[in-house]
Amino acid sequence: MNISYLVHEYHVKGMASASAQETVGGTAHGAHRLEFIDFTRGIVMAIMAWDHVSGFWNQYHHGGEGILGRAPPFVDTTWFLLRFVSHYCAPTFIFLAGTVLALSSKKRLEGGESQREVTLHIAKRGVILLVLAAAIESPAFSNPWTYFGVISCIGACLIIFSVARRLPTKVILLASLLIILNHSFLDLSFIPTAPNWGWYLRIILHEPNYDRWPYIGLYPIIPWVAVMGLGWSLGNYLSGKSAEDVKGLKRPFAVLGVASIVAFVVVRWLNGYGNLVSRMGNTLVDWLYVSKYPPDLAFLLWTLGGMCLMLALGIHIQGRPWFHGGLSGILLSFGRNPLFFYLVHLWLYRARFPDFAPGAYRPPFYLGLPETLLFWAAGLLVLWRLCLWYEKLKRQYPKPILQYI
Amino acid sequence: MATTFLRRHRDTAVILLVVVAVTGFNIWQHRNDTPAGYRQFSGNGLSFIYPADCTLREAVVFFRFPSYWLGDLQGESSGEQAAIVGVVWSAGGPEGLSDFMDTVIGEARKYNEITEVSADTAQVIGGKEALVRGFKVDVGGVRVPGLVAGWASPEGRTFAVYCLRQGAGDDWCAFQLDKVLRSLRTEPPPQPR
Repeated sequence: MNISYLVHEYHVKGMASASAQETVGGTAHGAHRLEFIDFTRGIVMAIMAWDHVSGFWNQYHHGGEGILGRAPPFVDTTWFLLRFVSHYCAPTFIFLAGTVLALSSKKRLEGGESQREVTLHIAKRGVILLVLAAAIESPAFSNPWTYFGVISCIGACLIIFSVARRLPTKVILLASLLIILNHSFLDLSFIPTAPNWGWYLRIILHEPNYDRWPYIGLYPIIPWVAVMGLGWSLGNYLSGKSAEDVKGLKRPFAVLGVASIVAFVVVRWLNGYGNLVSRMGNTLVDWLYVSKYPPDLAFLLWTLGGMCLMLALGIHIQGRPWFHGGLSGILLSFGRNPLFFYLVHLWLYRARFPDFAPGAYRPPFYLGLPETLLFWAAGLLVLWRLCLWYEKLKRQYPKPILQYI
Repeated sequence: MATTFLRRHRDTAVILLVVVAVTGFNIWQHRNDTPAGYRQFSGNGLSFIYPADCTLREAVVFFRFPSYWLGDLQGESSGEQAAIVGVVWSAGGPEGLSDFMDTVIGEARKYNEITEVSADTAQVIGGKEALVRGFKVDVGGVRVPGLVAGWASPEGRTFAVYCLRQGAGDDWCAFQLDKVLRSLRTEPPPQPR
């Protein structure tokens, strides 16, 4: 299959719809000026697909970094790094969800919708995400519908933002920074854990846990809503920026990214505040083993720093003639359809029927690393074609439920 | 010029100030908290922290319930890379420290194949002057490295703190030893011995 040809064909036929791009109309302030957002999101979607295919089919792949302060060990550095690379996904996904939400809200208001309509639209989207998480995401991971995963978390955050968006951006930015820097001090012990509702509430709010089935979850709202808040602040900053203004953001993003990674090194070196998993030695794994559940400061500095570098790269290449072709074209198609990609890729890579019993996550047989990489790459090609097909479908039927996915 | 700059960026400056003030206050207020990833044990006139993924059990070494003058606690985690962190104590002074470590290793030898026991070295670990000894435990043909440190407390007790973990190196053991010993606090006996 000639990938470049297919990507070219797709653009020549004018099928390019967009999430970030679509939300700003594309031409108001310079065509395609915000495609770097879709490009960045596309990169992390592809990485996320790796994490999940490996989780579904590899014996030595696991997660759970930071649950209850624990650091489940990996069999070797290779398997650690194969998991570690996926840490970029959730923070970037949630951050950019906030960015695109800000841009789309502004566009809706400018398009004549009332505040109430915009609020209802965002809240409805949040509820739909919660339903999709229960019906599609949870069974894909062999979890009960009560599992509070990344899609549930984004859904809950959208519902919060349907109201919180009325706050001034600077207040949202301040609150987000305060939460990110201070959530590790949060003490929810006043909520009783004996009744299931209390246990579940603590999981949903701040304490990821897998111990009391079916009340399980990995993505608590409190830290992640702050990540979305940072993304929202960026979205409001970007709206109204010209193509030239956006070009000028390449350097600030790069500087911010490097500064964030330097701050990560400092936080890990000090080995106190900001580390929910302590550095227990000086190996590469010791330095990079951070808490994702919940995300500690070190985790967010590393991942959001990396995201800033990806955004800078996206701005750097988004004007190039080849940007819409080849690999970047494929990544753009992923980034334009994040939720569709997410829901489809889980079942594509899982490749087996749902099961609902605890511990049934194990595959019928394990794949080796080369076969898994091959499966991942082949799956990405299938997903790319499906994303193109889905965009076409959305253009044909612009008003039904498809607009929420 | 500086005034103009500040005026232009007043809101940003306010945000930064609030963030620094609130975060700084929180860090200061929680400076003595049990670190993330650890739990604290308190009882029998001593307290220390141990890894949160370990389940603490009493009387693993001496088979008698711990008291102020004699006892042991051992935290164990499960899985392929299971870890053990333990604290054993007895009445005694610094002169009997090496013998006490011999006793602890001797008890462990009853149930494990312990090899490569190194000579004692005097070190300051976790702010305490301790004797440290390395050893290896044979687990299914694999030699798991461990460390044991002996320390004499001011009220007349000797402590042996030991750590080992499958698949881990000396770094992990040294790190945990430092954490446990740094956090180890003792109290005077409730009544004279």
